[in-house]
Amino acid sequence: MNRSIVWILALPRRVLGSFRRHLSVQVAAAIIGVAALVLGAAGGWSLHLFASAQMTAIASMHQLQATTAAASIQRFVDDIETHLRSLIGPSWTSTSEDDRRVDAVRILRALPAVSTLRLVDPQGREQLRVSRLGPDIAGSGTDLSQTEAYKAARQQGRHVGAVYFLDGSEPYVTIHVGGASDRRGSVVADVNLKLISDTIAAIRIGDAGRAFLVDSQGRLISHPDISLVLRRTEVASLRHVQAALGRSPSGEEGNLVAGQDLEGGSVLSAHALLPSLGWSVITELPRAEALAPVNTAVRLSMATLLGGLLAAVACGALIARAMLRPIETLTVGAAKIGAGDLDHRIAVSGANELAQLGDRFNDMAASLQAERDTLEEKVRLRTRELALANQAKSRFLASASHDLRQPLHALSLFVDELRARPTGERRARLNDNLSDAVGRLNDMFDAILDVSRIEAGSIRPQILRFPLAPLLAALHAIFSPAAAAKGLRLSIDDSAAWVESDKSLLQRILQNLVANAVRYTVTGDVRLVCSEADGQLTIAVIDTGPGISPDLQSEIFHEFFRASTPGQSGERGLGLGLFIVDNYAKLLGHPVSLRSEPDSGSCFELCVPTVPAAAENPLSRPSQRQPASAPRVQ
Amino acid sequence: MRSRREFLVLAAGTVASPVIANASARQRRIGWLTAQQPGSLTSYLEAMRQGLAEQRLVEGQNLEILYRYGNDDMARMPELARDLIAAGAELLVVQGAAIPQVIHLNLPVPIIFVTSADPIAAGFARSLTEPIGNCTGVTFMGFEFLGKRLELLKEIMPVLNYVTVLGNPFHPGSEIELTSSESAGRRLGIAVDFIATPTRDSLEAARATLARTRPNAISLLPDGFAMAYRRTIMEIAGELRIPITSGWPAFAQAGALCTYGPRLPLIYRRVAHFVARILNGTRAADLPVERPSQFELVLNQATARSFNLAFSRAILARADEVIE
Repeated sequence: MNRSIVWILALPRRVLGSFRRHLSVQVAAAIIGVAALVLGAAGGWSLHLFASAQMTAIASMHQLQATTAAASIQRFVDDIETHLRSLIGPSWTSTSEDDRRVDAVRILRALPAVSTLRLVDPQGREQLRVSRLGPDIAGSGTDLSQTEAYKAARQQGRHVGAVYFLDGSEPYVTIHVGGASDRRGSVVADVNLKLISDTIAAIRIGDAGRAFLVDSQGRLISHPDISLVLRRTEVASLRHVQAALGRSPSGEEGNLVAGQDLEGGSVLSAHALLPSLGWSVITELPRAEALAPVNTAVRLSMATLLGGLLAAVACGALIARAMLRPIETLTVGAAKIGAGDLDHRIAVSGANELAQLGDRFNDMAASLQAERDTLEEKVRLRTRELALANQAKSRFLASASHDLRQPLHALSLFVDELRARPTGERRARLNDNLSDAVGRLNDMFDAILDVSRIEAGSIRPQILRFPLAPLLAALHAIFSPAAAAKGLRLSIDDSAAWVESDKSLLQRILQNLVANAVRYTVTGDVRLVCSEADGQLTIAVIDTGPGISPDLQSEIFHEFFRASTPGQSGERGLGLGLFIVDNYAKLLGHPVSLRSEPDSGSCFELCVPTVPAAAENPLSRPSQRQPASAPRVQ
Repeated sequence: MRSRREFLVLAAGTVASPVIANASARQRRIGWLTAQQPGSLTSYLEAMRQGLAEQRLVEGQNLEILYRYGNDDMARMPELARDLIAAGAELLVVQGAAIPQVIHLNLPVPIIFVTSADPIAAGFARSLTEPIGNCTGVTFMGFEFLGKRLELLKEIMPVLNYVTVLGNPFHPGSEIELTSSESAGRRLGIAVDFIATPTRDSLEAARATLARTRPNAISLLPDGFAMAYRRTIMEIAGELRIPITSGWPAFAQAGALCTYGPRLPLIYRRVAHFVARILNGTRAADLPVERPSQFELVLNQATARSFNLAFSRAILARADEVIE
């Protein structure tokens, strides 16, 4: 139970781990990561640039709208002023009272916003009042000359009073228009600012934006929703109205004032001052609308980023797949080849590195296969050789036991004869026969001993410098009796040469060669010829025997090889003579060669290095192992 | 880039538009209540419908207007108001004499009143910015114009010294209007008296009275009743050769010497504006009572000639329209 819980808990990490181990996942992750990084960076940067540009554009546009709105409000007031100024003639007395009244009434009709119009004479006394609702009064003579507004109008040509709210609701302002001249009168108009609302409402700020007008105290003078004005809604505390009253600039450096409108919605605002009136036009644009292009750009960028990422995922997967499939093929193929299936060939299409790697694998498998085939062949050959050697050894044992039995048999016969108390003459012949048989046994055992020593690798040649003559003399002594017995002519050259070799091994080599020649030659002669040239002494043993066919010439030096045709005497050696010759010659470094043809005799040549003759050289002492005195026949 | 953005906007619009369409397709229902007879208010209603259409409230499409007419029976007003509410009216537009009959009933829906009275004096509001209860509205400021009309009439007819005010006594604020007329008359040296004309029959009585008293002119209070019987009234005045002044251009077109008063289409546009605002969720009390700000003087040259009167330069300069 506990174990399964642990297993389940470890599962995510295990899955993650296995993912991490997969090359495809790593490759895909790398591609996606790079793509995400590039896309993110590029998208973010372009978005930043776009957003800044957009914000600047929005702010400029907004500011422009505020300025335009301010200009249109200014025009509204200027228009009124222009009309009022037309009522002031060059001099008060130049127009009749009646004309003044007609003009005043005409102007009143032309200016719907003006509710009451008063004409004031140059002395500052009201002479005519025309009104839309109140009574028209002529010549009231009310003295305005001491009012601040009148004085200001006389000095500056115009005075716009503070905004007031008639009956606590409708915004009004009183405009005095006058002149500095003592002869000119002046005009006072009460203007209903409610009529600016058409102008304000006509100002379009985006889709849901609006503009409104506040006086220098931040009181709402005009708003597209006139009810707000009539209710005398408090706006002065709004942040963007404060900014406008504080005359802090908006629209510069792309800055808009962020604030909240009366409904509490977030807005961006610009404002523009009407300097001559002290009023400000304030625009409001819902933040969401103002930032809509930016938000659209953000969404678009996000979509692009997402699309790019999806493309990267697809791309990564495809690339990983394209890369991974040959690698998988390679892995599987390599595993098969490794498991011994050398016939398997890896098939990776294309000419890229992976395909080349596949080809290398295939080449390796092919050469491995060839190697294995050769090895098998070698093993087969060796096995056959071993079998042959074994066979030869068995044959040797059979024949050796037979050959050994012959002298033994003879010995037992001679011993029996001795027991029969032979005659003295007979006894002497028996003695010869006995020693002959023993000698043959000795030779045979010597040969077998030599071979076993060769095979055991226990022979250490003792290289000395010695004269060849005594050795040749010994050979002559050994073989003269046998050759004479067979009617052969034996001639052994005399040589004064000194050679560098192992005396006993060299003697053994020559002894074996001469013994063979004597054994297999029926008629004719056996010669040992020495010839010296270039520091080499060539010792040739030449016979007139049956010769050796070329196909056997390489085999005669093998162990247990015996010529198929025995010597005329019927005696056969153990087949070890030439094997010993060959091995001793190799040990001594003396090359042995054979020239022979069937029915033309044979010639074995041995090359021995010569050295200058030395007088009493300690190295020239004869070898301790003396050759057997008895003729050796193998 | 640009076309793609447009595409996105279009796509978003396609998703959003059914919602908007649904919202605007919702049928709104308002009630219209007056004590007058149906025929008297046709032109008002037309002006209001135009104003509503400007606010995207089109009768028969997304707006249903339920009409109730008292036919001069004041006692039926509360019943008709409740009837409208029962029929599903979301607000009531109450005109003229019906207003005092329903405004204190504490009805569950907002009331928009359309009155020629002073709403404060009539008790509909504590001030222009503080209407009582769940109501708001517009005033024609009829009382303020009485004096101005007498002044204009005096300018046209300098001999003027006796004027009879003809009007409906159920008209709210009638007393104030009369008082205002009297004070203006005193200032201008004109005697003012009042003949109540609550019904069609009373007009005949008025004819007899006028034939007897023979005032220099008649100041006709502009209201639904006068509107409905303007031809009869003109006929009586013409017969007695008494010039008439009133508030709305329709009277000048019917033969009155001159009319001076607010521009009615503008006022009804404001009524429509109130309707739209309240249907959109604004509290009626948050909408101040509005007064007209634009007025018009209409002169009838033909009538003047028939009375051997000539309009002075000053009067002509003031006129917005002169009917030949």
